Amino acid sequence: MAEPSNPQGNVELPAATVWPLVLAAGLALAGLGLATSALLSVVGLALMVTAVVGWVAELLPGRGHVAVPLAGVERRPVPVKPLPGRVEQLRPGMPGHRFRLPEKVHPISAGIRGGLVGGLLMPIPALTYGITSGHGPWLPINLLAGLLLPRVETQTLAELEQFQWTLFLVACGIHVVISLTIGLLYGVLLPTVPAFPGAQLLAGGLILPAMWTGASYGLMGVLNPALREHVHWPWYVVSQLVFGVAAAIVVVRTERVAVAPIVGRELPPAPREDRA
Amino acid sequence: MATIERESHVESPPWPARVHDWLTTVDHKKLGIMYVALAMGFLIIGGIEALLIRWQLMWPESRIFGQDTPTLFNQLFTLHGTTMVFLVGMPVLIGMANYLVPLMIGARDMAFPRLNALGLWTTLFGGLVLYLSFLTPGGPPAIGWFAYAPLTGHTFARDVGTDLWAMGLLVSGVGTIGAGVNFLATILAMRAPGMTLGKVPFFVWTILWTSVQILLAIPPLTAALIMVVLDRQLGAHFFDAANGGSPYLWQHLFWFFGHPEVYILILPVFGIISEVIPVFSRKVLFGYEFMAAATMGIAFIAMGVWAHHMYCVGLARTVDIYFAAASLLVSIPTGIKMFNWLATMYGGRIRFTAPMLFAIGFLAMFLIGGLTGIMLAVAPVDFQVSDTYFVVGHFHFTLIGGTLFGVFAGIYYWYPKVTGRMLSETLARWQFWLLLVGFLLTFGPMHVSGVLGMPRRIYTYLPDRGWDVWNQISTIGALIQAPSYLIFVWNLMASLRSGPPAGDDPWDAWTLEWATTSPPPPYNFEEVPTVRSRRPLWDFKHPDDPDWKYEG
Repeated sequence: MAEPSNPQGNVELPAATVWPLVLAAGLALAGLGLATSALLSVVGLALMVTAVVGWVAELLPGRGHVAVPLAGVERRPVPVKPLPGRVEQLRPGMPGHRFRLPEKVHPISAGIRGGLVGGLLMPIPALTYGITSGHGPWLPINLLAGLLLPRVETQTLAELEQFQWTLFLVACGIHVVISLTIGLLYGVLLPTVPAFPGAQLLAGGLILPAMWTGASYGLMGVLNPALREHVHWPWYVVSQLVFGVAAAIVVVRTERVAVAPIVGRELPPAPREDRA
Repeated sequence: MATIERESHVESPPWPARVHDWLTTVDHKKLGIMYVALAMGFLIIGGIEALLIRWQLMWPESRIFGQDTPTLFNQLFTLHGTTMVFLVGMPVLIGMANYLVPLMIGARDMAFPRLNALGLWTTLFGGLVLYLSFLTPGGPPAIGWFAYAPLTGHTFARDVGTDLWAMGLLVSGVGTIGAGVNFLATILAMRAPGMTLGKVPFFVWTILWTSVQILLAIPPLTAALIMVVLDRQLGAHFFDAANGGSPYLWQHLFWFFGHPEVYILILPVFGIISEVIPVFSRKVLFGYEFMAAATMGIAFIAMGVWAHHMYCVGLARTVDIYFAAASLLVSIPTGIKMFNWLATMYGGRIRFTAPMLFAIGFLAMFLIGGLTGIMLAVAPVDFQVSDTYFVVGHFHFTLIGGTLFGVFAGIYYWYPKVTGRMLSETLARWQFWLLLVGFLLTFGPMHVSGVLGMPRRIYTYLPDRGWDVWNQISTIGALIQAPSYLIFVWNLMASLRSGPPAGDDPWDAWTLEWATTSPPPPYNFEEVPTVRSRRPLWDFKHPDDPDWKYEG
């Protein structure tokens, strides 16, 4: 603490004054008069002039301030009491210290394996649809390639039912990349799902496939609406669910490994907790 | 919680002396209390107006005031909006800042105490001038709170109500500008020794930038109001399209004030929340520097987004794109704040007492208001829902869910300092839950009725529009909200007499105001304290682990 009150035990403060109130009243009356009666404005202006004169007079040296005596001892603030020892630094190893969430994750290889297994099983319902519907196995493959290649949508249905090397290779490429990407995402996301029985399977086998199916339905409408017309959506959904369930099972069955701890400094600046 | 009973009894002077004392005071604490009391009075008036508006809209083809319903409805929403923005929102925040800023920075008063008093009285008299319109033959103005030209022209507003609206805002604007100057001078020049600008309490930092906004935003409104008065009194034709003026000029000038005004009403609340959440989470504010930069960012960006209120006037595409991008930009610093508040709470030892309850309510409700604000910043979305109840729902989420929840958090936090008494926690919880439920029911459905196409400001609607049920839910919500305000006022008054004594530092807090008595003496501090960190009281309480060891 520094800068005490003056030696007499008083503190000099601005004195109470009525002039701000009078000036505000004058201003309001002057404004009111503009809209109603000029007489009010005249009164308002007179009040303003009086208030300004009175106000300025109080600014002269030796005026406008009062010495306020300090409060009695019984009304003074209770001194702030030091409470040493109430703060404890959180250090590595102590409960509540910083840790990465989730504490354990699946290895990256789990995501890759999940994506590959899902990717291998996913074509089964797609091809089943092609064969049972009479369109043949190449229609779903060509449609997948059409997501990337231009002018596929201009082909007739009969052309789309035929085997086409270019489309086959592109479709395989798309399928592998997407399967691996989603498999890796499963590896990262599934450990963060709330820990109740079956939650990871529910998220990976149902919720996430439902989300990307909805997204792809909407996106296909923007990117390639003509192709969307050829997609048989119930079978599409089944193939996504097959992928999701297969990838989730592979990922969930993989043993999780602990995350590397955060290496802290000797005196971490945060977090500190008051144990009060 | 430490409470200390003060047995000493000081005989109070007779009431005429007390009235004289309050009327002539230049003490920032008394002026702050009067600002808040003024705002609470107008809050009740504005609330009654809101209830009447909601009652009128509860049923289709309703006319609760008989044949005069359309005019009275227009007058009600004009007064409601004007009152809540100019006579509740700004005064309550200026009042709280008035009380707290000198205490928080270790000063004995504001830099210009007399100017401070002038600000209070001009705000009060400005409000009285506005409400005097009830006594005039044509009654109050019926022009909406943003008073678009040509509604303010003589052709559409022949009575004196519109003149009184303009004069009232002009007079109260003088006080607001004065307050802005005063806060700037106080914060820049009167901080305690050692309190660099990087060490001011966060509430003070937000008041600093609010003051910058006041000085940049209020003068254009003042100029525009003078132009309205000149148009109406002298036929100046500033906004008269038939005579070469431009109604769009008014829109530009008004919104150049109007959008920063939103931040004038929310930045101090960000400050309040940034004081409450750390104390009730028992942790230091997360990312102070980023929070400070975000506040500055908001203050500057907010000056350049005004025309997002004007997409529908047909501005050029380039202008729309700029204002949409600039408006979306505000979400970045605001998002920083949100995440930092959450990070402050994370891992903390949270105390769910009344201030924290309202702070959490603020976080949730303001987030919704912010998200719908992002939607409205996108010009094509705005084209669809402009001037519908969607907009009404949005800004009530920011102004009630944001400003009012934050103000309640602040009042529950600092009331013990101001009065020396604790507020009732039980009543506070009743108030919180009634307000939260009523608020959500009132303003949530407005988003739906707005998307369904219900325009704002219509006094009634046809029954076949599908708007009935949403309006009925809104009105029921308003009726649930109403008692929450009464409980609050009752709590304030009853606790003043019979609340448990608070002691100097009931929350075990860390900023300077808690180092003096509750209520503080006229001079605030017997000795002006020396500060070494952002939490000086923490340093005093924990000399073995002071903050200044860690702050750069």
